[in-house]
Amino acid sequence: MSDRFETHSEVFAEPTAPRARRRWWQRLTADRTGMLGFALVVIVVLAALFAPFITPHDPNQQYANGLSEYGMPRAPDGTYLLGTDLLGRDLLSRILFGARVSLLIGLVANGVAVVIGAAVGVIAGYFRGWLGTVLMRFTDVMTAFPALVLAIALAAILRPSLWIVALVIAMVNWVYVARAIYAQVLAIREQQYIEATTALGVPTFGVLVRHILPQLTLSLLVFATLGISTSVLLEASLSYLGVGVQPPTPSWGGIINTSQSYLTTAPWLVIFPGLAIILTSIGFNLFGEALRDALDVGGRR
Amino acid sequence: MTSYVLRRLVQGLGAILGVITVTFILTYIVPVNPAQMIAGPSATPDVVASIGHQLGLDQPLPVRYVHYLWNLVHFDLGRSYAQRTQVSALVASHLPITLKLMLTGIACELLLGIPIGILSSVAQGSWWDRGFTLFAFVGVSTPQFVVGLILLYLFGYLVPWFPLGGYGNGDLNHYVLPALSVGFAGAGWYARVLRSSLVDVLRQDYLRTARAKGVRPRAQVFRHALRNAMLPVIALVGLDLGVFMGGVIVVEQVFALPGLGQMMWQAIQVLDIPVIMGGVLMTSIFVVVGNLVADMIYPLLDPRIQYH
Repeated sequence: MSDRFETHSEVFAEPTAPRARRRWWQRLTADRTGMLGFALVVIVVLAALFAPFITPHDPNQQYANGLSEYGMPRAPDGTYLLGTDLLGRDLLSRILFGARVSLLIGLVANGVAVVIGAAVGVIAGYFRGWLGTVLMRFTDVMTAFPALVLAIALAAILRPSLWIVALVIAMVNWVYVARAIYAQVLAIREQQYIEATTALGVPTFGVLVRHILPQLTLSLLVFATLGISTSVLLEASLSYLGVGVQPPTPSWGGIINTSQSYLTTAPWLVIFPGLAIILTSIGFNLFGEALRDALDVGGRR
Repeated sequence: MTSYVLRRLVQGLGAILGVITVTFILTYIVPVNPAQMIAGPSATPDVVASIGHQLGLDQPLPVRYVHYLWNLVHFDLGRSYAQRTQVSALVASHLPITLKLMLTGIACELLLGIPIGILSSVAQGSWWDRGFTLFAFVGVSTPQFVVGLILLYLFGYLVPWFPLGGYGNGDLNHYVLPALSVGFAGAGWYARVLRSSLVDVLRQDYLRTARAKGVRPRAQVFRHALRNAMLPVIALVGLDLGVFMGGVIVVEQVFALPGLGQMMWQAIQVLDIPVIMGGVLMTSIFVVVGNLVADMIYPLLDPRIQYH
């Protein structure tokens, strides 16, 4: 690897792969399952963005004709395309608005997780020494906690709200990013161009931001995509357990939570929100995997 | 080898100490006064202060930390606010169910994942193979509680083969659907891992030799290749234990199994901090111990690896 930079003229060149860089998007668009994932992502994003314009009904309105004469939820029909919930609200509208909650939490939680993970990984990998040891030992301890269990405890203690839920998910998810980035930074800092920039007197902060961070962009991009799926799943599980997004805000996990006892009489109340969760998660997973293959960077789950 | 085992044991103990410390800090930052919780909302400040004194809340933090550790060494996880019993007694009564669900879940992962992985690697690129790849993606993209509810609807209600949740008298019948729900994601994923590692192993020289001397295809896979190809799967089962544990806790809720998850869920409703934290601590220790066990099995399966 390092013998590519042996000659003097190349010592200061950043290691780039021009051939690969020019064609990564061609590889990506040629990946059919990846494009299927991309299509799913686009559908969910559009649903979230335009929810107020495309929903057939008000998601929080309890319609008088929304319940059957026995007070039961209405099955899917012409008026209510996906049926109604226990309070006579339109399920389709609630699912479309639920996309906003899921995506918002997924993006914010995963964004914060990637930033924290990248910061910890870069600092621990670059400075090593006692600081690196302490940071990585702490990361190891945090990995020992089952993510969902810790998130349940944190969310319960901190009293759930939309932002707390996002923060809690970020607090359990950053460890995976930190570990992967740490390993990469350890390898990058041994390369000669880093040694050269340090020898030239570039300040540490400049080395980190100008020379090490750009090397990590692709990996971080992949984490930013794949991690959304994990965050969406965590949010759904937390809301299902009642420690996530609180009603009346529509969230997919929350809808399933309140209607679980009607599983046998109104299965659509579980099936459709469940499908929404699965399709969103598959979308980000497929697209993220395709992105990783196309960009040729490592890192799993 | 011995030094490797010793070092891993020490690392495991260190991880457990770390987990205990983080749990202690979390318990401390909670915006709830334990003495107030025990005394109830109408108690006078004097009563609250005296209970606080009994609990040692007026002591400095390091003293409380040492006290906390000392109690843990004696299996004392504190007292529940709501139920007025020892948390350790609660944990002891709920633990066996979580343990059973874990073991049956891992069994499901392997019993489904290994055959699917073998089939896909032997029939690479076939429709079987593609179908199972899709299955793996659906598996990791589906939350365990949705799998659980769908299984419950299909095989508990439409085709009533299994009970609609609950613990009953604890026979295996009550564990089939929950175990499938927690094992579903892992089954697909491990099948994919096994497939790719089996493809690699089948290309190696010693298998070419096996083919050359006329070993039957079935024996090539089962007697020669599988043992090597299983290594990454075993490593992953250990590494994924944290994610798996989360699934176990949620699925208990779906099927109303009175395990650690139910214990925590009930505690959350009344903000019973010692019970919540006891649950977090127990499940984390499980994960650490599970990782250790996986690391110990690894060198037994692959004696070629040198440990120092």
